[in-house]
Amino acid sequence: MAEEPRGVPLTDLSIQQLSELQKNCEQELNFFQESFGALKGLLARNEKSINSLEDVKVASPGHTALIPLSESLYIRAELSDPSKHMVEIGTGYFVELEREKAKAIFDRKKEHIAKQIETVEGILKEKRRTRAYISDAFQTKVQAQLATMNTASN
Amino acid sequence: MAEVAKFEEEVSKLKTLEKDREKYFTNRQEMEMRLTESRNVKAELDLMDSDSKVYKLIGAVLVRQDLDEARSTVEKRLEFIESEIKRVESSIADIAKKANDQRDKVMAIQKSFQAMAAAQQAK
Repeated sequence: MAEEPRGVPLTDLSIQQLSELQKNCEQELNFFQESFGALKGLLARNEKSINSLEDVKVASPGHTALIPLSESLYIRAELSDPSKHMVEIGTGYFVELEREKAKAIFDRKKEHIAKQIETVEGILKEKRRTRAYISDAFQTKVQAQLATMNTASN
Repeated sequence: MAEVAKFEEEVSKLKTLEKDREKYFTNRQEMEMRLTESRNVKAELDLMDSDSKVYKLIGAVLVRQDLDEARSTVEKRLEFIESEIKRVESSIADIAKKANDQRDKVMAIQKSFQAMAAAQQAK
């Protein structure tokens, strides 16, 4: 998307081009920051699922529990078969699975998300460095122009 | 001045083109997200035992679905999304080219303005 300063040294760009580049970089940084946050949220939700799985491990058939229907409304329910879980695997598909298999899905998801977080983290680092370079070049350019303006007016 | 009106018209054309391109970009992004999600579903479905009970959420109801049927549905959806992405990508390439041409046009008019201004100053 953005014109990476590949082959062209930053110092060769005009102030306008630099500020354009800065804006682009900022936008990309924001985008990846957002993805990073979203991924962290997903990871936390996934972790919650794994923990819940552990929680129902001790339950036996006939175990009663209060099931939340909304944030503040619960219903008493009886577990007919706590060894089976309904797991959402995405795009509206659910699968009935035993604990081990459900756990395997969550573990795979966790690994997948962790890997993506790692990638995004790497990109973020890279982008921050690029941003620092660009703003450095920008500053020097502005300073240089100010200096020439001063000598011209004198 | 007719030239100014023309210039403004060309600039606004360029702006619409760029806006459209932006729209296509978000479109592609959304589709790529759907593609990865569907791919994950496909991968999970492929790992299921043949006697697994698969349900599809339709509205607020979970409907029991045959595993093979679910697999082929997801497969078809993957193909569909892939072809859609290709379509959007060609639209993006097309619009990028148009935007570039339009930008050249705007620049040319700008240059002629500058030349005119310079000529006026020289008088």
